[in-house]
Amino acid sequence: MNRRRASCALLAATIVGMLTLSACSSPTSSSSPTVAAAVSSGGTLTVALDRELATLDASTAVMGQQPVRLLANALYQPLMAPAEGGTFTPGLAKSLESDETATHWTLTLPQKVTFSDGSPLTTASVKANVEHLADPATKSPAAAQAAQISGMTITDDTTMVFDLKAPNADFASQLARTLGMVTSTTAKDQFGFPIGAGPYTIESFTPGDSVTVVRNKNYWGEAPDLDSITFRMMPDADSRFQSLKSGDVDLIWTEVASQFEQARSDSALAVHVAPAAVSALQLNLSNEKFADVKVRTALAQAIDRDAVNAVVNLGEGTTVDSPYSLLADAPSIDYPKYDVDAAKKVLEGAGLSFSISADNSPDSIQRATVIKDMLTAVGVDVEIVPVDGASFGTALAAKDFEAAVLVTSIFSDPSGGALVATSTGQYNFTGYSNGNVDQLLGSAKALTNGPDRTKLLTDASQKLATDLPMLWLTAGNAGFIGSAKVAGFPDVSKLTLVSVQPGEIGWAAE
Amino acid sequence: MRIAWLPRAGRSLLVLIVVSALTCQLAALLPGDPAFVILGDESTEAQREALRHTLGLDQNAFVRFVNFMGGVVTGDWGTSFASGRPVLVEILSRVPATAELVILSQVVALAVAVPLALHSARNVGGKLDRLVSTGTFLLLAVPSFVVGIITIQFFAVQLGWLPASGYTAFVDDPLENISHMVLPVLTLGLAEGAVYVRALRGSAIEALRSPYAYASIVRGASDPQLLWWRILRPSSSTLLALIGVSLGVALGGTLLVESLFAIPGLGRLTVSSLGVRDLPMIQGVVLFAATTVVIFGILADIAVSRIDPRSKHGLV
Amino acid sequence: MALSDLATPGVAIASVARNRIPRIGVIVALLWLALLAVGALVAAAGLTADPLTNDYTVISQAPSLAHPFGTDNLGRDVFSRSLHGAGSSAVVALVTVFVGGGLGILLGVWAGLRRGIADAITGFLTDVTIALPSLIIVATVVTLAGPSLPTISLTIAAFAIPVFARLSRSATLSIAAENYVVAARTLGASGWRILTREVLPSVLPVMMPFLMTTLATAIISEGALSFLGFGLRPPEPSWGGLIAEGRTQLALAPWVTLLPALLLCVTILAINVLGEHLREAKR
Repeated sequence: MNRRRASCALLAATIVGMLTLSACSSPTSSSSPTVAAAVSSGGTLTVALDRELATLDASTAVMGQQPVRLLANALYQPLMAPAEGGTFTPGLAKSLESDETATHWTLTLPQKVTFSDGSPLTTASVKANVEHLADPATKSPAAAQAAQISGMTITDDTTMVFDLKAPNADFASQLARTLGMVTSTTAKDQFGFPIGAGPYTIESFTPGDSVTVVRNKNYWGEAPDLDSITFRMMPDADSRFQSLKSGDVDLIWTEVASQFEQARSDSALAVHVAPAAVSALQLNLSNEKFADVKVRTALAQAIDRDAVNAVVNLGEGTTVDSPYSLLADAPSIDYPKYDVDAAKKVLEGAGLSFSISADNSPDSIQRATVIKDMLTAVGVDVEIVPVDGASFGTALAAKDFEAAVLVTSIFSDPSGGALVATSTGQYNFTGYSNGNVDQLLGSAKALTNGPDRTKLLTDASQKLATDLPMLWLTAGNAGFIGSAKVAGFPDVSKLTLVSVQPGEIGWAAE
Repeated sequence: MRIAWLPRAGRSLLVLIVVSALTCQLAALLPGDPAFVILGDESTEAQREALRHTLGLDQNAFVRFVNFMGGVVTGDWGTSFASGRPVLVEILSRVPATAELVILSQVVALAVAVPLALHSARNVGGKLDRLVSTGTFLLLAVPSFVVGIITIQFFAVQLGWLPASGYTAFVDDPLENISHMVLPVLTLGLAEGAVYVRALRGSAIEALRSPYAYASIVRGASDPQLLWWRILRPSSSTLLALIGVSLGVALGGTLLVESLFAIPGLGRLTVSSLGVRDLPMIQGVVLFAATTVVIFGILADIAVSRIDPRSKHGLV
Repeated sequence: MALSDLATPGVAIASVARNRIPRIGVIVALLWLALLAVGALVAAAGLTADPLTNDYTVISQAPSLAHPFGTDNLGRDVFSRSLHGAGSSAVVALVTVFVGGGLGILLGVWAGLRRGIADAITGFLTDVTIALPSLIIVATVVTLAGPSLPTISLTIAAFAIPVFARLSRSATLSIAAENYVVAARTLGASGWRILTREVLPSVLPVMMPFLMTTLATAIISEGALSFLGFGLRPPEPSWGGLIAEGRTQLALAPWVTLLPALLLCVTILAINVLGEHLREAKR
């Protein structure tokens, strides 16, 4: 009688396996998503963020990051807000005007803006906040940006002028980030964070787990629709998506292409995304392997960006060929075309072998794998080196890599190009240095928008496409997937930085 | 109680000091610059340099270790890089979720294991026994992360019976708390239960063969009486030792489940601290975890010596 | 988690149940492991589809004759990847048993025979290792040394050493008191001779069932580590990694996760069956 037991166990294992298999493969319905509906007042929304926040202090690096924008906007509504094609529109501010030289910027605030404790937010508060950020003791990543401001002249409570040390046509973009999140330098909330002037205030905060924000009673603008929003921190992308499908959360941040694909075929879900995550293969130019521009050109020719987009982004997203590809007036330039034969002529038999460092997220690894395949096909031996998130940035900055896949949102506005391409740019990991490009982008910094500026950016892009310190790949979709019942969600598809003001969204009226 | 207390305590203390020293050294070797993580990639090198100095990262690992131990003695476990709050406060705020997960899964494990084990031991080879044996074999073969994935997909996503993730404190909403705990507790508890069944069943069979169990059978004790009063106690020393170890190493055990179900416990704190190179937090968590292992080890020994007097004399 | 199981000696030695494993069960288990070993070798020899080659014409396809386990989101053959994963798991398991078990047993026997300082040192090292939270340490080491197969296997093995040391020490203590060892000592046999001729041959059989359990826990540990992102990194196939990778598409392409998971579970089951069999055979 015991004879059967172990074989029974083996058999049972198989059956359990098959049962779960069939249970999981039930088909999902497919019909069209999103119907625009009126927003009802009240209710609670639960949002899953992709990272664990230990602090909600507006001055910290984490609060300025794209996936956390919804929360940051709720609490610290920035002075400026991203608009279509990499432009900026006033957020909390009433207006921001530059003089012709892009060195003197006039900021106007609306009347009667208040912090969440009811105290007035004036130009003096803006000035105090900039000084707070510039203070090294604040440990803010915006310190360098604050330091570019040489003087702040207050005209009255609602008007002030920023004098910059050097021209910066992209100043508006910085006021849409940490620098523009004005917090009180005197009042703190019960959690010890300086208070802001957003439509919501913090009700409860469990570091690393969740934040609940409720309507700011002293909000100076139109009251938000939702009573409260709970943000849950769930680093695991699969957990977020499963929780959305099971109804535990109503909105999730994600950058996983297959989830967009699944959500689009599910009528209960709506997708709000923009191609906001640009990827590019950085080549370390100090490495002799990449010294020859012919080799770099051949590498560029070996990479089929359309295929990368098809496979990694599952066809969502776009290909890019310059730092300005996402912008409304994207330059049209000659970037090396996909040409396996031309690439083979240079690379096949040349014995080129190098490593590609990638942060160890599944997407990055997948991207690196696809590139590896394409390069293998033309005779290059590639090894993928996965690096954990915390070491990756350090490794890039220290130029401790041969080639590296960088995925970033800095190209959401025109300032990103200078960061990677000028010889002193903070994101210049390749060691690229071209006086001509420095000069072009330097001049562009002093020009506010217009055809002249576009011409300069186009010329610089063309130089980059010829010198190829980095090989451009794609812009992958990033953004939110939410319940189809969430209404008032703005069309983010034209944005280059997915930043939504939560005051506008709410539950669809029945 | 004949456990030699003083040497045992001294030895445990030494273990904790060595563990802390090792962690300090290891953490110092970690690649990746905490200042870079805190300030983000738009920071300048000068800014990072200044911050490294403020955080004491420019001191060597030994100095940092001495400072850390000095702080621990006075109750100051340091300040988290990530949150700026005291390490001990952060750790203690994560204890309830992990503790609840561990305690509930132990309760489930024991509630399932003890009756099943005792009754299978009474009728070795019987129907129940065969079923239980097969069942435990199967449970032991399925790692918790597989159980977790499948239960989430099936019970939460497909059937929508239970939440897929999250945690609500019991004091805030008892019902929510329980519904969030069901899947993680089952994921963790059933496998643990399988181990306990096998351990307890073995010792119960031996106890049943002892002359003294035989005597009570002859005296006409009923089955439940016999099993629960006469057999459970002598056979539970192995089980207690096992539970002691399980509780001690709970941090490792719950980590997977905490990340799968997004429960804000110590395990997730550990992983996120590693991810952002929050060195003071890593050290704090290691010391805390090691202390739990040591304490539960001692408690298990005490319990075993109470239940089974032979162990005092080193006979078992 | 699985790693912690390594520190749970009771699991192995406590099951003194008299549940005879039927011969057929043992045979099936052996056959399964043999089949898997052959499969892993065949895969390692490069006779199956390349586990790393993407084929964008067959993305996320259900199991078929061409791809018995289907394909994943890059069109890679899941069957081949699973077999390669079996290879990685086997390496981890064997390294843990031979290095972890080997060193642990030697240490335990040494401590048991020499007593005194040797015993104290071994005991203390054991205490320290058990008190160290294995996952944090493994994660740190993996971050430091890179996620390679040797790093992972050796770290998992290191955590097995104290457990083996503890068990073999107590086994040695009881054996050292046996008449024949005492007799050999009195007859002036060298320490080495006593160790290799008298003690080890008696200790090893006692440790066999536990060695089997360790095989299983090492495989689970590697899976758990990969699952958490601290194991072999993708695209290198490992069982835990395969299961974790496929999770994103569990609803669309369940085979990518569930078939490797099934392979893993059946293998653990087979090893447990054999372990149980050895335990019974001992009695």
